[in-house]
Amino acid sequence: MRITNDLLARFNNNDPTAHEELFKTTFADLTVFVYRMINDEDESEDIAISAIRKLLSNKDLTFKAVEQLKAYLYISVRNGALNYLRSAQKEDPFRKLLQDQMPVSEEPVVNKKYEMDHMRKLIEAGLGKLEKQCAAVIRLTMLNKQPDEIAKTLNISPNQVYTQKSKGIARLRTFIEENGSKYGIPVVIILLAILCKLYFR
Amino acid sequence: MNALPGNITQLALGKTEDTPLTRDEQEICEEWTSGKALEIMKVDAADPRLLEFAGLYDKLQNKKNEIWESIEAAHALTLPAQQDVVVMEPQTSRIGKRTWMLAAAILTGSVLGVYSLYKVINADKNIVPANNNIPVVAQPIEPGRERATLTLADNRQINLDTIPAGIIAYEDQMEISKQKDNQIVYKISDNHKSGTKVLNNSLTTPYGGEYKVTLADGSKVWLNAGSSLRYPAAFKGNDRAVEIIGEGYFEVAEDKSKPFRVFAHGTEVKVMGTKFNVKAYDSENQVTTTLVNGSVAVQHGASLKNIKPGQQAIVSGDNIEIKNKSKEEMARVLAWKNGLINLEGESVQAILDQIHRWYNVDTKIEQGTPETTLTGTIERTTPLKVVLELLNTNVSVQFTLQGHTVIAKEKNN
Repeated sequence: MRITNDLLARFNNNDPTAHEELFKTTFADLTVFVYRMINDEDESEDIAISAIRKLLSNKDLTFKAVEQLKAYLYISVRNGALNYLRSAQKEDPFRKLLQDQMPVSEEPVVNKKYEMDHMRKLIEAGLGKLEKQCAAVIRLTMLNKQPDEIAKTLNISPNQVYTQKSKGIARLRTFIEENGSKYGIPVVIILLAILCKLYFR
Repeated sequence: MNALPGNITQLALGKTEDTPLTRDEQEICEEWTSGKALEIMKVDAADPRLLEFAGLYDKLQNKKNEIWESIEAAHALTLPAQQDVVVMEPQTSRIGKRTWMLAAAILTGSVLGVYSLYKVINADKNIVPANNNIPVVAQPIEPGRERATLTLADNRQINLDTIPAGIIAYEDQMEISKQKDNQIVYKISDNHKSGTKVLNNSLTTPYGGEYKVTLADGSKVWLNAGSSLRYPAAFKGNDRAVEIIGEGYFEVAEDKSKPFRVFAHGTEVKVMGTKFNVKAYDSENQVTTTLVNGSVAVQHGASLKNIKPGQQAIVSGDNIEIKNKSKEEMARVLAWKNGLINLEGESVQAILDQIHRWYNVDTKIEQGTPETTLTGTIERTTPLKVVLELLNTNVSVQFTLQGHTVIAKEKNN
């Protein structure tokens, strides 16, 4: 989720264009975050939307820094998701992770964790490096297609789907681990340009 | 990690400022201040559900415009009643997307609302894979037309599509009226005194809408679909500054003492009196200024370039590139303003972008779709079905409408 300082300033001024932009910048990221916790698409959307709406309806609220605004949104959706989990009597999937976590070590390990918007771009860049068929299998998997459907669409055997999928995923992971840090924010635009090229090959 | 002011966390948790937090809620805040949240916010490349998340992310990105429109529609309708009430929803009754779409649908009887609702209800059923070559038209998709929303300085919104012609508002010393030919005009009103504050208005066209406004100084702006123009109701001070997102054609009234400035994504176009087109859609990562006559200066960061009539300045990143345009090329840039969809010299993506904005449909290019050469223009009033038929006269790319999405893919010859 990338909220610019300019967007924050306009939000603080109650500029209506900021509302729309803020919604569109944050909606998918927040929804996926909630979805990772509660595993229900519709509910996740609802929780994200109501958090953003609540923020937008409060005209007096201003933030000093982008981080604060981001914190507000994450705290708000995390709370919504936890309420949902509680009423459904389910566990918070992040709890263990939060407890296990040792103080952050100074030594930078191989970083393979990214926020969703960044991750999505990395996947796209990684897909460009895969063979056509392999990339197609991954893309269809992302569209939530079952292996037999994928086999039919691409006219290959179900077995090939499995091999291509596991190969593709493994190579994507390697790509993300090796390249993740290279695609910092300033590179994103260049990356997009490359993507377009790849896309129109 | 910055510490968070108490009232922000309180509000984020849906509480008033003087209610204490429960232990669970304190934990959530603690996750943030300790930096632990940074870890759970991120997705691990090794997560077995990585592709599922990425797929969902795409899906959400594709429908966020639609959802925003329904939120806005519902919001605009309920605004007068809600204006002064800060609604603090109790934690148990979240007003979610479906409720809002339903509200939008009921209140306006809007096809959009009903459609969104329909889509949401059906969202669970997996959409059948795009099985080849069946151009299905479930319901006719209308071309865009003249419609827009005007937002006044106090955030009051006026739907220009439904409001009858005549004076629609007073802002500062200006009288704002809607003309019969679907445009709005700002004129000095004798009965209203000017205040000292600058009151900003904005005119916003949805996808499938366009509109025209005559500003306080007599400058005219045509706004293309999916765009927004922000401007002061009355121009005070030493310049006339407006801000655009999307695409607009400007005919600026001459006033040497007050330069006219257009801001678009950090790029500034400075003019005296002139005609030019600015294209600065969010999705395009560049700002293109095309000059018809007069002279303008385009500034981005430290670089500043002047362009002459028949030239185009393209700002991408920190770079400004100047291109000379032939008469034909100029006509293509301005096609939209003259009610035409230009095909000549456009990439498949650019054509889909135009369709996306004007017909308010989703678009998609399948992998491996080649580029193709198309010629000519299409009237913007043409039904989408006919547009696709015309597009399909090319040799290499097949355009089909599936549900609410126009898909481009390679033709199997």
